[in-house]
Amino acid sequence: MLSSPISYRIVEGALVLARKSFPWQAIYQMGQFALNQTGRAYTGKVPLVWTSAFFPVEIAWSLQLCPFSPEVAAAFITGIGFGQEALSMGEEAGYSRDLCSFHRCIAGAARAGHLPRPRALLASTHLCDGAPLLFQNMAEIYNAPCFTLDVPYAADRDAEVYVAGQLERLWHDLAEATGRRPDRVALGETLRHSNGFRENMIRANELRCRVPSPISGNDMLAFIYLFFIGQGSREAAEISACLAKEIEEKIAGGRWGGVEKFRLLWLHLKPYYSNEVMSFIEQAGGVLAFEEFNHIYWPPLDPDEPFLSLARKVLAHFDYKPVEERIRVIRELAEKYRVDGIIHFSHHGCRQSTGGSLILKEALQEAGWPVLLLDGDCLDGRNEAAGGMLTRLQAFFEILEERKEGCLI
Amino acid sequence: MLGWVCTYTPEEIFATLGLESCRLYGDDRGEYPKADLEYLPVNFCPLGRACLNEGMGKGNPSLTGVVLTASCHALVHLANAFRYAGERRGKEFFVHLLDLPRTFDGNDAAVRAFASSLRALAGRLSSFYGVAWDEGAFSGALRAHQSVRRLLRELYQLRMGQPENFRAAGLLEIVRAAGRAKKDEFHPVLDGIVNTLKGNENGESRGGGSQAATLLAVLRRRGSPRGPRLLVAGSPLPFAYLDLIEELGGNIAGDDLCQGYRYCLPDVEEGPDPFISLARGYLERVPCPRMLAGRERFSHLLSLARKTGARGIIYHALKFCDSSLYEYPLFREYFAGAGIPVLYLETEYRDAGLEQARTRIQAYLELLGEQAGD
Ligand code: SF4
Ligand code: SF4
Repeated sequence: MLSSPISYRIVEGALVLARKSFPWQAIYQMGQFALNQTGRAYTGKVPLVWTSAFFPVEIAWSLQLCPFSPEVAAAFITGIGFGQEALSMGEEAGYSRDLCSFHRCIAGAARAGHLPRPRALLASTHLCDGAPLLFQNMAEIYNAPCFTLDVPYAADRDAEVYVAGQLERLWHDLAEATGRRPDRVALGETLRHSNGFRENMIRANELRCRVPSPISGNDMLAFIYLFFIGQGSREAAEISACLAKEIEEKIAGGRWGGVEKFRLLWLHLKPYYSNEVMSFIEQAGGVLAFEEFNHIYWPPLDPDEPFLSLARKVLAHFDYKPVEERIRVIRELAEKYRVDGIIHFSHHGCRQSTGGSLILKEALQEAGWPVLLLDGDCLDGRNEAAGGMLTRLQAFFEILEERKEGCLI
Repeated sequence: MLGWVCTYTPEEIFATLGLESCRLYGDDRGEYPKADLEYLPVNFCPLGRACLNEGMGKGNPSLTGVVLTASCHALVHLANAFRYAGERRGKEFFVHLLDLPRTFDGNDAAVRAFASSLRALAGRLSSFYGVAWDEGAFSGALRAHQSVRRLLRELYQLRMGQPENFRAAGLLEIVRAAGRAKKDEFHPVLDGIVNTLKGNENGESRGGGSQAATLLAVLRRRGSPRGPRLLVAGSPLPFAYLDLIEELGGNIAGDDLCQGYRYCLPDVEEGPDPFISLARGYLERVPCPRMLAGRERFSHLLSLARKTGARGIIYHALKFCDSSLYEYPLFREYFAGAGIPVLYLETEYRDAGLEQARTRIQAYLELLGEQAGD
């Protein structure tokens, strides 16, 4: 069914009919983009490449390939209710329950033949230890080449040159493996689209400084799709432009508002297997004023120096530096978005994010922000850490409430 | 005194600069001491937590810094924790995170990148400790490290021929001692051990002094030597598990552990640029699970199994060690294809849980026995 073009036409029709019910046209457009991409992925007309969450996907777009993010697919599979099945299959295949559930889910879904077959796999080593290891295993299953971008931790000149050199080699090797012609003009065009996306997201993020918040953080977390898959595509540039424009219009029209009991900064991703946590926050009057994932941290790309500037982008990530850098960025965001508290969603299998969370919490608390480390799992509702999340949130909101009352006195 | 954890850390650099160093292992017995939990979460590499405790705990006042490789997020956050804990205690503490390429197929770019990380490390150490790099001292340090590694490999060779007579945890204890010692001082000890083992049947010590005698004593096998030969692979494991395997009759003929054989492997050839020599020597040794070299690693281990006559492999994964946990599914499949059954053990780098493991190891050894028609 997934490989039949008819399926996509049916879903596309349903999407068009439901267009008006989308809170934001940008989300509707993103739905269309995602559908179109998924169709391309499963029908196999364009060579498909799997890209890991933080791989500079511009490389794939510039070769007119179809990028596919298995992490996003795992969240989608979970969202439509097949997560448990895929997780169990991953565990049967030997993937421990201590591993990131995104990856267990991917391993299970791949084993069951639910994921589209890649012509090549592209993984980067920064931020996620698991992705390159998983991709290595998946390359065996699909008998496809896996290209790994080795990203050093120190972001100095040597590191830039090292990463840029690998990117250039990888770009040519990937072109050869997928039967594409490497074209510098197309690469330059891709980088311009990527810059468009970056600028539009910065615009949208600036608008989000308004109090009350003009857009819900839960809606904004949906744009993670563009971060993982879209950067470098014309569509992502257009959708993000639409998003910024819609927020602008909303503010200009004075049509926004609502009671904001607590403004929150959200770190890492959210649970996808159930909406319970997000609804609870909303019902308690909490608003995600900003999310760590939507922060634009990298400088603009230079189409005349494509590989070097992509290398700089990759190396610029604030989470791939001493934890003090993450603390600095989070403090800045907390001030900028005038939040009352910070929630770190501690996804069970994520060493990168959770590993530094205790230090992060202590430092941010000393700087005056209440912090909640919310232990849970993005995809696996069976995880015992997930139990008690609402109770912990409730207790955190009580602290925030007391602080507010204290301020009034 | 500098602490380090990962076997991709070239100790030669410390020795050249005249700095003492010791490998951190953390305590692998009993329950977690409370201090472990201060800056690292519970769902985090237990070895990393144990090393934080060892390095920052009361028992190690001589430690003035650590050099950790950016091999995995466990070590990255361990570096954060050391730095943070050092600052909190108002202690001037040296923390360096050493970049280490993740992929290596013999290409010069990775060698150059690693060499540049090593040069940066030497530079930082020089200015922090006020010591200078000396080419002559480097040659001496290189020779001393090479000869210790050569002797360790010889010891492994001796064990390979007659694993029934060796205690695997004892061998790892010798490797551990090597990682903590000044190499020129440890060389005669090791030499004494090797000579003793080669030279006489009754195990009388032949040189190396009292340390050699003590280490020879820990090498002595206690368990029953009747069972099949095995290899041990995966993440560093508590010694008590190795003793248990032997107590149940398994004969450990080789290992693929960073706390074991992989430590003994780097072969560094002196060349015009010391950092390039070190980078190449360390990168060219048999890769560890984080190096994304699955099949290459497995084929080394397979040939070791064939050479030693090992019928099975015990694969140990530390809880939350992504490098091992992701490798395992492929590992299991590969060795199943080669007709070598794998037993999977998971621990928290503690000897707790030994009793549950007993039954599984027993059943596994029986299975290997049946397969061989014993
Ligand atoms: S959640 Fe963490 S471990 Fe999982 S895929 Fe993302 S970065 Fe990797
Ligand atoms: S045991 Fe695993 S997680 Fe721990 S430091 Fe070693 S590679 Fe990293």
